[in-house]
Amino acid sequence: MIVLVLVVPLLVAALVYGGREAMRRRESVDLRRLAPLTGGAALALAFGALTVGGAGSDGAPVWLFVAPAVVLTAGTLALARRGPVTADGRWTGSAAQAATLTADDRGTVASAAAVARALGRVEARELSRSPWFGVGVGFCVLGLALFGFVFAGEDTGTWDGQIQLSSWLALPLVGMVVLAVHRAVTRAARDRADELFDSCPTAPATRTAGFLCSAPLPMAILGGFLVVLGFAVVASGAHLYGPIGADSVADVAAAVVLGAGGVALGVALGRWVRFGLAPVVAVVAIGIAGIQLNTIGGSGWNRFVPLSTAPAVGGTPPMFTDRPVWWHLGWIVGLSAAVGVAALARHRRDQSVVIAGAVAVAVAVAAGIGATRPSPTSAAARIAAAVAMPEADQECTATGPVEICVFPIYRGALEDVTDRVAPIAAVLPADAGRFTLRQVYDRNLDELPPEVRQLLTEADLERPDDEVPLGFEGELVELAGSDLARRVVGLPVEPDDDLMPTVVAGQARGVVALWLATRGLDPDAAAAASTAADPGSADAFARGSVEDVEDPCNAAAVVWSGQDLAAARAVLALPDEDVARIVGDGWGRWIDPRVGTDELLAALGLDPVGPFDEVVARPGNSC
Amino acid sequence: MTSSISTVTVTGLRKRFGATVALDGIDAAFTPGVNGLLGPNGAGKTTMLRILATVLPADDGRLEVLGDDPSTGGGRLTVRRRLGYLPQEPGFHRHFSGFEFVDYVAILKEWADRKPRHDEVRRVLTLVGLEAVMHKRIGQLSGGMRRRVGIAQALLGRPDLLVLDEPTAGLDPEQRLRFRELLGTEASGATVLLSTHQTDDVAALCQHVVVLLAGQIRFTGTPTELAALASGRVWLAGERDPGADLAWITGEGRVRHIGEPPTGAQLVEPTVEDGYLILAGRDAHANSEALAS
Repeated sequence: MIVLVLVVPLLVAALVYGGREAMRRRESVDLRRLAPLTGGAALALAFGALTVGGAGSDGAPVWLFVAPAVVLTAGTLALARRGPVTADGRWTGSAAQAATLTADDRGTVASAAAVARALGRVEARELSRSPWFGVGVGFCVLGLALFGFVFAGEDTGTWDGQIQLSSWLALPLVGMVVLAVHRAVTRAARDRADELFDSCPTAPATRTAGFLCSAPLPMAILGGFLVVLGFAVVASGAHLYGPIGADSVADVAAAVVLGAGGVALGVALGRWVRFGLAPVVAVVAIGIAGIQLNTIGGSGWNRFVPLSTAPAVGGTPPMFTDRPVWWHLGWIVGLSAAVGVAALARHRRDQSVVIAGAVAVAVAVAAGIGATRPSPTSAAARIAAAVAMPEADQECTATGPVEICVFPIYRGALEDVTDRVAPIAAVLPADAGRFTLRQVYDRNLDELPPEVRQLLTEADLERPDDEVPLGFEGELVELAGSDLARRVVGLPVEPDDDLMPTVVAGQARGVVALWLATRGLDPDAAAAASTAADPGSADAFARGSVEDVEDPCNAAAVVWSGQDLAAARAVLALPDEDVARIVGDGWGRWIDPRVGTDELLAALGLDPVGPFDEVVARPGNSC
Repeated sequence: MTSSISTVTVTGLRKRFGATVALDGIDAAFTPGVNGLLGPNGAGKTTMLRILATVLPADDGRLEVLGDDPSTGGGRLTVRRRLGYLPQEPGFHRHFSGFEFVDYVAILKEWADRKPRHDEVRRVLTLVGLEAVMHKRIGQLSGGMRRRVGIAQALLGRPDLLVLDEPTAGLDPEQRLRFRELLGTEASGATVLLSTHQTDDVAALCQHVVVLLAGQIRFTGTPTELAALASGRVWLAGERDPGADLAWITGEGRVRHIGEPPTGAQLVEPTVEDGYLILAGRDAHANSEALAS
């Protein structure tokens, strides 16, 4: 499948492009022009192979990337093979023959706009042949393969959350476009063709406009890439839900406009700074600036995020934010236009350029102000209400003693959450009580806009004891089972305020929580959920942690001992009915922190696993 | 297009590059037809052609090209619309095909409509005999073929003024003949300014010739008049005459001399090259005397 996805688009591009050219020229297809494209794609795939290989190839065999990379590299070498210099053929055209040829009347002199458009078509063609552009397209293909197929099956969440990634997915191609366009703009100087071109009536500013007119190509590629990626994600079985609203359209549009911004930046740099490394420096600088904008204020509320070319995603869920996506789009449009006008201003500074520049800057400034504006009163009130009273606007369903409540845009996941929780709810004894899994705002108040904060107090974040916070996006289903299992035995689902986990080494409730959490999972997943990430570690804390303690973002809520995890796996091997009966009959005892794991094992007829490691809690890290 | 105003007039033209005087008060007038510029390397030919092609501003002097003043924006634009220019070393985008490169220049010459533009590109490439290889990359073409691509782009749109800087450099004898034939038909009625080191090209092509030496015009007239400068000063002998200014062995094994012939010398009909060499020799002699004094 991957090979098809990678190779078929290139072949289609080759046939469409080469075929059209050949029809136009009535000659055979010259596939050699595609060498930069295939070379770039090969490079990107090689990068993908290294990345996937380095990541442990979880779900993505390295050969899937290596094989097409090798094929494309071989193809590139074959295509790029330099042919012999054509021998100086005879000058067979004669004056007599010339006399039989008469050029059609060209009519009136073309307008500057028409010339710019014609140049734009040529520059778009040249852009498509650029190896830098090929690398960018290769990254798109790589992104399509990874996110559209390899990892897509694991995707779950809202369309809104996924589409917010559009700008990030566009960045590799946009960066390469900056490099490719800069090379194109400085091409005449490098090839010393400037003198000839300067003798032509087309003004340098019109030539600049011609380069800018190549922008539709990367925009079309980006648009096509994002749309195809969307279809691929759906076709690969990803479970995405929720509406695709106007905000999502703005997100995609901003990503597509970034393509034009990349062209504008490449042209401006080419016109003002011919130094070959200038675009590299610019791309890196913009990347750093974007990261800085995304991280101003640390983990607290940051109103400058929309000014980043790729705003940070994965933070606050949508019902607790008022994302100014249209302002962000306006900011990107204004910024791109301003950079384009700056490119034109290198050779033309008349009134129309000044006005265009002023309009572009005005749009950028206005959009920038709009993007960083305080939340409107109505939006602040809506967010505050969602924080303080989430139950006021949620949809709920029940399975046994467990009620599950989600915000409306997550209703598509309600069935999945129910499926995940139902096996756990089914084995809970009556005296375990009733619980509500509810989506709530579970972050700090300082991560909310100030206009929202002033409508809330810390008391608004307090929730009833029988309520288990339900996650959002990917965590919604993933953590629902384990969080419920922990909560019903009295364990926390989050580390404390100092990111310190609760240690349950030697406690029966820890094993019960693991057994409950694995209800409904297939045997492999169940075993994985009760196995330490690093079981052979010399560190007792690591041996008892099911999360990777080396992960810089790890902040575990609960840590067992290695013996407890072994005990849990032993319990998993017993018949479910037997365990359910024994756990249910002694529920109050097994969730008592003073009751040991070996007591539970004895009740189940298993050998003891003690003595238990002495696990000393230590704080985790939060990203 | 008409040739009635295809006249180029240069008055007091000066150009310096730092301490080097490239053009030192040039006065010249060029009429429709082929005008040749002769001179040694560094004489100022290329500088003059670049100024006439509007790609280099003059420091001083007055130009009238096709009735317009190229020192003004509007005049420059008008001139460029009627100009075909082949630089001495035209830079090519080597990954473009010949067709693509000439097509690109055609767009820069304001041919925006694809169909007539492509027809014209095919026409000029056919004129220079490149129709069979027009879609090969320029990097794969021989030096002579690249020169022909350069000539082809200059012919786009049958310009009223053709400025060709050493157009026959790199062409073999047959191709030079083809070029002469081409210029005779394609540039009829136009004003053609070409610089060359090939005096036989001048003799065969030009109705008018200008000899530039050290930034100054030393001769202006017809090729016949240039050849006539050497009249009575060219002779053949079996041995080298030490009194001659210049002497070389011809293909027939005899020695051709230029200078003051001895009594009884076998005088021969002078060529344009002889006339040019007489001028260049005088100039070199004058320069050496000036240095000695």
